[in-house]
Amino acid sequence: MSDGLLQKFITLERKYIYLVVLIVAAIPTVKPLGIPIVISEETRIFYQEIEKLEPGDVIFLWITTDAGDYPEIGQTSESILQELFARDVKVLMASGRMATSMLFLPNLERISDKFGKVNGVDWMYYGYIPGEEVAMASLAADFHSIPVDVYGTPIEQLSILNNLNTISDVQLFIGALESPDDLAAVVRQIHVTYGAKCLVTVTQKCLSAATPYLGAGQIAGILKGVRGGAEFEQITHRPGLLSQQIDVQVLVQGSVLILGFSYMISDAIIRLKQKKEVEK
Amino acid sequence: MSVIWRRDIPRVFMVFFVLLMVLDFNITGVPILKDTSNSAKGGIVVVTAFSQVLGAIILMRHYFESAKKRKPGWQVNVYGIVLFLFMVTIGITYGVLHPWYQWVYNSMNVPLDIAGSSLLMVFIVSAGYRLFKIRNIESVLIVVTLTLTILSQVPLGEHLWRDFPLIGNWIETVPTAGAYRGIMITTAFGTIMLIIRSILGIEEGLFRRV
Repeated sequence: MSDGLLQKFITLERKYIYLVVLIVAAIPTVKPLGIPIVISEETRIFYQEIEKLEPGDVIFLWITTDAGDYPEIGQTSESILQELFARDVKVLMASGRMATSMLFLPNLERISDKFGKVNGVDWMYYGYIPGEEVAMASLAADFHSIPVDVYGTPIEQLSILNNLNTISDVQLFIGALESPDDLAAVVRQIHVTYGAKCLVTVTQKCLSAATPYLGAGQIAGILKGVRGGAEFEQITHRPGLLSQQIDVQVLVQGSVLILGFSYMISDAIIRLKQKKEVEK
Repeated sequence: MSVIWRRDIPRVFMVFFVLLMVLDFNITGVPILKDTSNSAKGGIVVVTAFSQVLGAIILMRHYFESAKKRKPGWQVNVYGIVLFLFMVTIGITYGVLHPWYQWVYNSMNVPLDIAGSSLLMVFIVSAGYRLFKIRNIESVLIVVTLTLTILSQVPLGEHLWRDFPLIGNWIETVPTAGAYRGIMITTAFGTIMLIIRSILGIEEGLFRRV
């Protein structure tokens, strides 16, 4: 390969890289490839914890995500919710971000209708509660501290909350978490304070923060980003948007490797040639 | 007098709430402590909601001043004011579940938020492309780790060699988790020391505006 071409490659303008990424990401979006994925041990452990739930058990689902991360953990939360409803598990839900409330509610209603579940009996949703960690602590200490649900219905009228007062009264806590701070808040306010069993689904950027908690046993199970969500869809036999996103992830990350190694080899060849010319 | 308002009273509140939460966590079987703690947590939720309103008011004041003085980009500020007033009016009058409110939010805020996050992808790819530059031992380690991590996470890697996920798992659970544990522990100790120093009056950073 000529030196000019190699030099052009290593000084490639960013707009061409962006174009490559755009094309590579667009292909599976338009035509899903259906790349098979292997279910990881972490997803199996997460699913086994869900399998232990009996019909009538109550779990608490806490979701914190902005619109940007909703395709990742919001979709995973919907997938988890479908599995919980299929097992006749009752679900209490709340959000730590305003965006979650706006995005999640229509999907919650759709899933509820699909499984024939009733608001107030099989599920209830507090909506967005300001305060992040403090909101989580307040709700965990007393489910009746928030007087109404997302529709403005007084919670005394919701039969699902009969005989439920604190987080200790539920069988499981599931957190769909966007940032390491949210993860630390769950561990502090839920597991450490009440000893509740916690499962989490986190964004890719939280993985480094989640691993110590997983190793210490403070988190019982984890779904890791898009990959974990896609695996959960596969293991519950309900493939959805996350399985499609895996195709995009594979191609984009593959393109990073190909471009990166090409850059590395080109750079090495040019420097070797320059070194030989200097020696001459 | 202003020193008492700006420094001493906030410090008293801080000491009270810190002690309340610490005692509530460590002492069980005292109902009044639990009830006071729960009330405090609920009260802070309300205060947080009001602080968001305060933040919105401050932002609107900034927009008004910017628009009045015709600063660069004042047209966007006017648009922001109009949108804010519209959303607040609809939200208060009809609630956030009203179709108009939902439409504005879903057609403007959500796509922009998602687009902003998606742009990160192209920047990361561009940065990753330039990261593959071997100059020294550190750069070799970076390239090798990056390659192994990517191959361990995508299905492609598993199909190439079934043990790639094991390597990625090791990288995640041993060196990365170890480094993260160190950061978390030191951060926690630092936070505790900062609170103790603030309570004792040694650290005045939190009340520096006196």
